[in-house]
Formats: sequence, C-alpha cells, structure tokens
Amino acid sequence: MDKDLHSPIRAAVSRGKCTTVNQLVEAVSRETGLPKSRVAYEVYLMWKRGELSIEHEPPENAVMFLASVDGVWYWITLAITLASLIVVMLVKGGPLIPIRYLLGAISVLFMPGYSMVEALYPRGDEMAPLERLALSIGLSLAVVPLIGLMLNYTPWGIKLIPVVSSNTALTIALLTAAALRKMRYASIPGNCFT
Amino acid sequence: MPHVAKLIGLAVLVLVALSLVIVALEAPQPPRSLLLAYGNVSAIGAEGGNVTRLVATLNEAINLTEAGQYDGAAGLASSILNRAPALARQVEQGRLLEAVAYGALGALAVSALTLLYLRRRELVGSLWLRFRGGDRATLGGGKARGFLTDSEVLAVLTGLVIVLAVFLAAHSLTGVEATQFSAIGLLGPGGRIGGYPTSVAVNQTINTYILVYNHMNRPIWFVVYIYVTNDTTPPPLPGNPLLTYQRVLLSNETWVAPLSLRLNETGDFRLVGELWMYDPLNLTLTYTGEYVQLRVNATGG
Repeated sequence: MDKDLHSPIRAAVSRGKCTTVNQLVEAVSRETGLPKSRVAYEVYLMWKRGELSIEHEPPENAVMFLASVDGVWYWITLAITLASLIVVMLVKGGPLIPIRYLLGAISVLFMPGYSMVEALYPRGDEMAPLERLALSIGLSLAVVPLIGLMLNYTPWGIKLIPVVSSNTALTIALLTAAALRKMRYASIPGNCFT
Repeated sequence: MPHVAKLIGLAVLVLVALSLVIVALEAPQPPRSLLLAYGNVSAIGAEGGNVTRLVATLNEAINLTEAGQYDGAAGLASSILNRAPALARQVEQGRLLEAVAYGALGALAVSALTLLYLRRRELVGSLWLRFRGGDRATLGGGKARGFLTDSEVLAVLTGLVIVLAVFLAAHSLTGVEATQFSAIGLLGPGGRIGGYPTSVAVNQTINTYILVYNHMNRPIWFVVYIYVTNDTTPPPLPGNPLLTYQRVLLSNETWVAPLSLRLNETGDFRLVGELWMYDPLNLTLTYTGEYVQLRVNATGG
C-alpha cells in the first residue's frame, strides 16, 4: 500500500462529509499529482481493510440488488460454479485437463463451504478474511461427504454425474440464500442516506 | 440299483471328459499376427493415441477367432498392422505439438498474470471508480473484508500454489505414472453387487455377471476363465475351464458380461472366475493373480 496516499485520502474524507468517491479521488489526485486510477485503487484497498466506509442508495428489491455492483460477487461465483460443471462434464482429456483439475478442486474443496459461510455470515465483516477462507475449506470437507452419504441412498448412487450435479445444486442454492441475506443488509440505509 | 448308479457315474465321467475335450477344442490359441497387432495397439494406446477403433477391430478379430474363422481374423490383424505405424507417427507428432502448445500456453499465462500484477493499480482502480464513483465515502467502517486484498489470505494462497507447483514439477520431471492394476468382479442377477445365489436346485439357471476393469494405462487383452469345482484348490486351477471370455479393453474401460450356467448334480460347488491377460510386451498369456469365486450349494429338486 502506498503510505503517501493514505493520509491525503483520510484528510479529504474528513473534510467533506459524505463526499462521493469521484470527488474524493479527484481531490486527492489534484493534491498529489497521481493518476486517478492509482488514487481509486488506494481508496478501494482502504475500504476493503475497513478504514473507510463506502455507502450507496439501498436497493429497492432483489433484482436491483443483483443487478448492482453489490451483486457482482454472486454472478462471478455462479459463473465459476457453472464453468466447473461444464468443464468436469465435457473435458475428459487433452490440453484442457489442467483446467478440469483446477475448477474441479475449487468446486469440491472450496465452493460448497464458501457459499455456506456467505449464507451464514452475509454481512462480510463478521470474521477475518483468513478465518473465512479456513472455514470455507473446512466446511467443504464436511459437506461434500454428506452429499455422498445422501446420494448412496438414492437410485442414482455415488457416480460422477449425480455427485457433480448435487454439489452444483447445493452451491447455487446456498449462494442464492447468501445473496438474499446480503440484500437485507444492503437495504439498511447508511449514515449518508438516512 | 448299485449297477444303475455305477452306470450313471460312468456316463457323467464320460460327459465331463467329452465336455473338456470340446472346451479344449473351442479355446484355440490366437493367430500370431493378431497378438502382434495387439502389441502394436497397446503400445500406441500407452503413448496416449486414440486407439478406440483399432481396439474394436481387435475385438472383432477375437470374435472371429472364437468362431473358427482364422482367415478373417488374420485379415483384420493385417489391416491393424498396416495402420499402426502411421498412427504411431501421428501420436509422436501430437505429443510434440502438445508439448509446444503447453509451453506456449504456460508462457502466455505467466506473461498475462505478470502484466496484470504490474498494472493492477490502474486496472482495478479505474474499474472500481467506474462502478462505485457515485457512492459516498466516510471514515471508519469496521473490520477487514474481501479475500484477495488480505495479506494473510494471499500468503496462504501463495503457499498452496508453491506446494502445488513443486509437486507438479516433480511429478512431470520424474514421470511417475498412476498405479497400474486390473480388477475382476462378480455381480449378482440384477447386475449389481449383492443378491448372489447361495443355494440352487439342480439344473436351475444361475444368472450372474462378470465384471473386468482395466487400469493398466494402456489397452489390455483380458481372458477370463470360468471354472466350476468342488475342491478347495487355490487359483489358478488346473485343467480346462468351463467357459472362456476374452476381450481387449481400453484404458479405464469396464466390461460387464452375462454369465449363466446350471449345475447338474447336488453338492457344494465353487464358481471361480480367473483373470488372465496377454502381456503387451512379450505377448504371452499371464495370470494376473486376481480371481472371484461364489460358493453355491446345489440341492436336489
């Protein structure tokens, strides 16, 4: 992180109450002579580290929430989950096989637990990112065998297609639950919009 | 009555001897050209070539051999031997191209990732500003959030990537291959594990399935010998088998064949299935050491 930018950004935020990000970046860029993209990156990092709070108009409904920037994570994780499903089903060998290994590992060892953690702790700052990562991997290791156990008592059995389909369905269901819970938090107006 | 029993016993012995002779006549050795063709196909398959069609032709030739049509089988074997060298060359060129493609893709991926890392401030900053420029900023806000901006998470992910990269590099340099094995199994009447008959009436049909799985990383010619015996000798059993199944299986292929037979006398019997294979290197029939058995009690009436 660029320490030289840290203080001017804090000072600019303190000066203007509920200033827009555009105004903040422009002011700091003018003051320091650095490009706006560099300043914006530092603002972004400070927000991610909890040093700044970024607020926007609360969404009116679930569609608006999912269509906004706050819903981007949902579409990205959904895309990774569906890409894993397609790659695991279609790629059986050849030069694309490393992609199958990578996406397959992510969809089994990370995504089920991650989607469950997001559904259980939707606000985002309830625990540290490292705790969230560890819990995501741990819960995945706990959930996937349970899927296998349940499949064992169905007519489909523990085979590739039932396992991959069930895993994908569970992940999507949990991600959707997480999105709905996140929307509730996003609907609460921040200090700048009360 | 004792004379009648002796006569029946003698008749049974003669029938058994005749059946053994018939089985011996029905299980001929494959033509040498067919074995050579198999060796070629197996070698190409081991190098990663697509030998699905050649294996199908080999199985067709094996069926012809079992039917006694040796000329037809030899003709198919010759056609395989004619096609094999060209396919082997294709496989070699394909491997070379694959290595070049992997290298190029790897270099491209590393370059793209390096560029992305070096320009991350500009790229992420302008994108974020475009989408969140209208939002309001205030001081404070709470705890850290987000995976990819947290230094601890990045450290853990870097560690995982390094361990994985070292493992993959060692794997590719030492050329360690996956464990090679073959397997034979016996499935019940429904084609699933379980439900095996343990007690049957004499002359009642026993329906089961034989399953063979190839995990030898190359096409393998498997031969399954089926015996029905009432002694406890461990396999491989001496004498001629009651039935013989044979087929060339692709790598990772599973083959399930129906097995139906009847017991024509009372007593405790063992139905034994032995798995043999033609060694693809020296083309000799070798016992794999794997077998399945089912104990059946045949009762009168």
